[in-house]
Amino acid sequence: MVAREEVLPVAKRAPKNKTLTRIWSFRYIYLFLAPALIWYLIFAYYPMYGILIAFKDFKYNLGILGSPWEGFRYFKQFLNDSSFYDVLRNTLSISALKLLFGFPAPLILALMLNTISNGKFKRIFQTISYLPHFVSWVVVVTLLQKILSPNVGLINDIREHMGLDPIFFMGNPNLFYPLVVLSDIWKGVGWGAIIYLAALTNIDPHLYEAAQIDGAGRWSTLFKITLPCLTPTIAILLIFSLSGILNAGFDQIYLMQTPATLSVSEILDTYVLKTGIQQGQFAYSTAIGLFKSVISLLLIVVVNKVSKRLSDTSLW
Amino acid sequence: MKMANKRLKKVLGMSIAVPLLLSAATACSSNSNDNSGGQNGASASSSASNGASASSSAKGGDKPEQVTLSFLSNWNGGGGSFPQDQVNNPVAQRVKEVTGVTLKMESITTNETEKLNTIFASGTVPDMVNAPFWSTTSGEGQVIKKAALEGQLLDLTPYLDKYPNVKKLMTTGVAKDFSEFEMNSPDFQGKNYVIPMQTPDGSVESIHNWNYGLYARGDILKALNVNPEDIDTEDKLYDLLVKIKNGNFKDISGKPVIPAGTMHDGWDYGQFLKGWSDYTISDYRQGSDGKLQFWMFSKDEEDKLMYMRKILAGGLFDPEAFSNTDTMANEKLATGKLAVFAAQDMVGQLDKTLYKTNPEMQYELLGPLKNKSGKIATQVEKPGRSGFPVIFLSAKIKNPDAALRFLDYINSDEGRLLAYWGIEGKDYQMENGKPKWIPDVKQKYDNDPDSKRDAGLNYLNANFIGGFSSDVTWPKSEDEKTKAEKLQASFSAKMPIQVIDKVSANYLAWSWPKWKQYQDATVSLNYADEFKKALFAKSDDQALKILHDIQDKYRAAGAEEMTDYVAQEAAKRDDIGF
Repeated sequence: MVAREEVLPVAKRAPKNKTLTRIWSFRYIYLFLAPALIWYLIFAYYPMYGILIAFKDFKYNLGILGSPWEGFRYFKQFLNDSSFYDVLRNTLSISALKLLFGFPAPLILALMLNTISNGKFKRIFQTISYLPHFVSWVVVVTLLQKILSPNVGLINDIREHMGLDPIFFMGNPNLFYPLVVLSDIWKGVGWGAIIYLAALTNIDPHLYEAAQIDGAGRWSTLFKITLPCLTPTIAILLIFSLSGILNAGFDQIYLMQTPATLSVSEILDTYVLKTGIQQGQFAYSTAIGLFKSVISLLLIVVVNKVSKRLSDTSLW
Repeated sequence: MKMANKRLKKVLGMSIAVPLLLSAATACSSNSNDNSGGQNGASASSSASNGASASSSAKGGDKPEQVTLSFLSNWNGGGGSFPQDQVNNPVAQRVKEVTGVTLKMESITTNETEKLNTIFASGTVPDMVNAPFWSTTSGEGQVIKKAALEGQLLDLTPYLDKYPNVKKLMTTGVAKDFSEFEMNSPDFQGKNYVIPMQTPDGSVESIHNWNYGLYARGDILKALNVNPEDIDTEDKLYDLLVKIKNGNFKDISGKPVIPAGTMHDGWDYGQFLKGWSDYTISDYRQGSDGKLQFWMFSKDEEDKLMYMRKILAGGLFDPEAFSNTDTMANEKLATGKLAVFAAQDMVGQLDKTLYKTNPEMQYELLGPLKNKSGKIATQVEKPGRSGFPVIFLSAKIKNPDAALRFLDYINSDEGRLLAYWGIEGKDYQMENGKPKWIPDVKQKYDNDPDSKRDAGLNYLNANFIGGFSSDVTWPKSEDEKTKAEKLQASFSAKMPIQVIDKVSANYLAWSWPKWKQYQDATVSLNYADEFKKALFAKSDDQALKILHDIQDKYRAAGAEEMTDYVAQEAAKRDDIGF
């Protein structure tokens, strides 16, 4: 840290404030942040005033600011809506399952990759594992539909050759959650493992050498050194995951949804789309969206606090 | 060396960061460029104030002002009629010559209501839009009405006298009750916002027969020795599907057929349930005791649900039917995968695909099924049409006269000839006052329907014409009809349209004191979705529970009280039809 301070260029007309001085010194590096900042300002902060719609009787001609106020009417309407409990239950169920099975998957993959000593094989395997991340959900779900179709699908073709009846996988409510979780893991596991792999490389090799000298086996090295060293990373990612528990994955669910699985697949985000954009109840759907955001905010604050107390790791 | 390194870093840093920044900035500003382009177009159009009729300009008057108008066909897949070159095809060139209007057309491949909500909420309404307008109390029509009342649509009233052909569209072929209650609802305070399209010319003969029905693959019927006309009850239909399933029939790739299915999103599985239908024009059903009942509370709904569940459970109906995309459905159609399908006749698509490769599979109309009264289930219409596509203009359109001049011309005799027949001398010739295709051109269009589309011969009649029937105006002799047209005509002949000249009882509910309250309570209820959900429920009991739950929600909203009110009001008049 001290060494880096020493090589800092002395900027001409540098501001007096220490932080600003540092920013000025690294101004070209900071310039790289500009596109992301601009993106956030335009697409994340500027539209935020739209949440006002949740409290208004939105009229096309009066716009968001001009429409008359309605107070908490739409929030009450949602809480009294007969779909409320179903939608909330489905959202929480899908998120909980994704958390339960999807959260440890990248960690396990990273640990497995870490044990591969053949560098070339490791790189190839890692590349293949994170490629699905770049395939959009539209493509993934279309592939699923094709593979699992009761009429032209590969799986059912095999079943029929074996003399078994075809199964409508995408239309079976019992199979909906397993399909959602498995496809989610398939798509995200490789990408998620990258963070853990980066954290793994940061573990001091001396610790492993010392453990080896002490005669520790693979499992005890894993539980006594690797996992404890990864705890801060795991904690941070868990905080993020828990705060997003009401985001069950709009693209994936909306595309995988069929009338046959509606009873288990209608989640907050798909319900917002249907009531808001398709039925034109903008205020009502914004209220639902805002309800979701407030809960997420509360969750992130609480989970962060708990994490800080238990593991001394937190976002802030 | 250190200085040189630093400089190099600086240069490299700048060379990467600046393009990144610029790309972000240009990405943000590309919209505004588009807008300014649009505004340029609009401002070019804004200076036009020529109210003179298009035809007079064409006949040697002043050259009409050149205007580019944006047009949205707000129909899922509505771009199918657009020529590949929207500007330079002969028909568009002629339209431009006469009216000065060039269209910049777009369409959607998503939900129609969703798109309408999006354009109105974001204030990006194209100059001219063609959208569904089935009713002002639900779906797209409700959104259009809200937008009209909230200042998003142009009031056409002051312009109508200047454009007689457009004015005529406002009433021609429109059902009286629809005109009174929906188009001219008191809420509109005498203003006109929508122009009816695809309406008949006022005669019964000109009402379009959509040929909705059940169609079965001819070779399968032949193999089973089944006469399609004999399949006229739900039981016979079920037996046929069982026979097909057991018959081990294959599609063109040698894979097993699906006994029954539909086009995209389950359209139109209701054809399988026509045995429970009747000739109705409202949401109310009269029981044998004379008591009026709201349609969804009828015992028939349970029977329909159980029938569909039976064919689904028996592997007789495509479980994917309700999640079929248009592409998936077309693939099934093109490969003869569906032994029986329910929809319109789909001859247009089949003619380009399956009928070319496997003409022996040509589909035949089943039945028609008999309805509850023992009469054939067929299309029921009032003398005019209730619910149709409409054209509306954006309140922000810079040159409404250009749009109306265009519509007025297309709906003139000359414009219709251009829309349906193309360019005289190139596509057709007049013989005894009637257009006749030039033989080579006809053959080319028959062999390659896309070439007809690209010559500009589909988009005008699909989007901009109303109060008209080409079949009535230019009846074709049998010799002139294509094989596909003959086939379609044969289906229509078996399902003649039933006309009921009454006012729909639906409109009586509008004066019910709790009507608004009822609408608010039911706006987020979706009976059709719940019915589909019930089709796939684990058990019959669960299915019935889903059905009863949604029925109860409508009951709780006051549907029964509303029905009683309608019955009372209907008793006071003799022109009400159920």
